[in-house]
Amino acid sequence: MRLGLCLAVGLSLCCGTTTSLAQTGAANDPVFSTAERAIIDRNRALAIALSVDPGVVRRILDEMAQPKARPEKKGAQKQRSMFDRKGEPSAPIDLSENPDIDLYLQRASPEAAYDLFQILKRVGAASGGPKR
Amino acid sequence: MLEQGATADLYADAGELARDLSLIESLQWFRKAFFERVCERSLTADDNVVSVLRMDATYQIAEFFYLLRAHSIATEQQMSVFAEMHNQYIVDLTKDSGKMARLGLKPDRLLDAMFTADTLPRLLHHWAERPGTFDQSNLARFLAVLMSSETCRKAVVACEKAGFLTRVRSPHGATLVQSNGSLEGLLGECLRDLRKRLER
Repeated sequence: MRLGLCLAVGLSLCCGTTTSLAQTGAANDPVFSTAERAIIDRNRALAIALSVDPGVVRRILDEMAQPKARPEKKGAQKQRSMFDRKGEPSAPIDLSENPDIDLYLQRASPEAAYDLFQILKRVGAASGGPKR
Repeated sequence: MLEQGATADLYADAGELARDLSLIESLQWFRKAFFERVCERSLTADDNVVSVLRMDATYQIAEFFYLLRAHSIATEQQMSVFAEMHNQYIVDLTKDSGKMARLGLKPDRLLDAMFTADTLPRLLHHWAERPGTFDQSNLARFLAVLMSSETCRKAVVACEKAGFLTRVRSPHGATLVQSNGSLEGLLGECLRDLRKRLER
C-alpha cells in the first residue's frame, strides 16, 4: 500500500495537474480503456494507486502516453535539483511487478549517445587522443 | 551514400546484400554478447539486479566509462574541459527546441544537468582526490541526455551489486561512484571481438 501511495504522490508531482478532459467522465471519474486496464492490471503499483486516487492513475497513463519528457514541476517552493537528491527512495518500484513503468523510466536516444561520444572524443583529442 | 530512389538496388546485388546482412548480424551479436557477459560476470544472479543490468542504461554507463578510459581522460584538467564542453552542449540543446523534442528533454531538466559554481568544484575535487570518481549526481548530469537521474541511480546500484562499480558515502553525504574497470573492460572485449568478426 505504501508503495502505491508513494508512487501516487511522487508521480502526481511529476505529472502536474492537467488531466485529459477527453478521458474524464461527466462526474469527473476517470475512464480507462481496455488497453489501459490491462496496463493497470500488469503494474501492481498502478493497481494500488487506483484504489487510492484514480485521477492520479489517469494522469500517470496520460503522461506515459506522451512521447516527450515529463513536465517539470513548478511552484514557489523551489525544489533541489533532481541530480542532488540524497539517499534512496523509501519504496523503490518493484520492476518485476511494474513492467510498463520500468520501460517508461528508461530513456535511450542514439542521437544523444552519438553526441556524448563526440564530446568525449573532443576531450580526448584536446589532450593528445587515445594511447597508441 | 546511395542516391534517393536507389533503395530497390539495395537488394539487387546478392554479394553486397550478404555483406550487409553479415554486418547487421555482427552488430546484433555485439549487443547480445555484451548483455550476456554482463550477466554472466555479475556477482549476483538476483533477478531484480539482472533485469536492471539488461537495461540500455547499463550499456550507456559501460560505454561512458570505456570512452573515458580509451581517450585517457584522467586528469582534473581534462575533467574540467569535459564539464565545460558538456555545459556548452546543454546550452546549445536548450536553444534547439526541435532537438530537445527529439531527445524528449525539457529546458528545466537540461538546466539541472549543467555544472554550476556549486557543483563544478565538487566534480573536480572528487576527481582530483580520487581519479575516476564521480559524485553519483554528477555522473547523472553527464548522462542526463541519455537517461533520467532515477534510471542512472538504478543502473549504478545494480552495477554495484554486480561488482562492477563501487558506491561509497563521502563525509559530506555525497554518494561517490567509481568503476573497478571490469564493466568497461567487458565492453572493450565485446568491441574487440566484434571488430575481429568484421575483419574476418
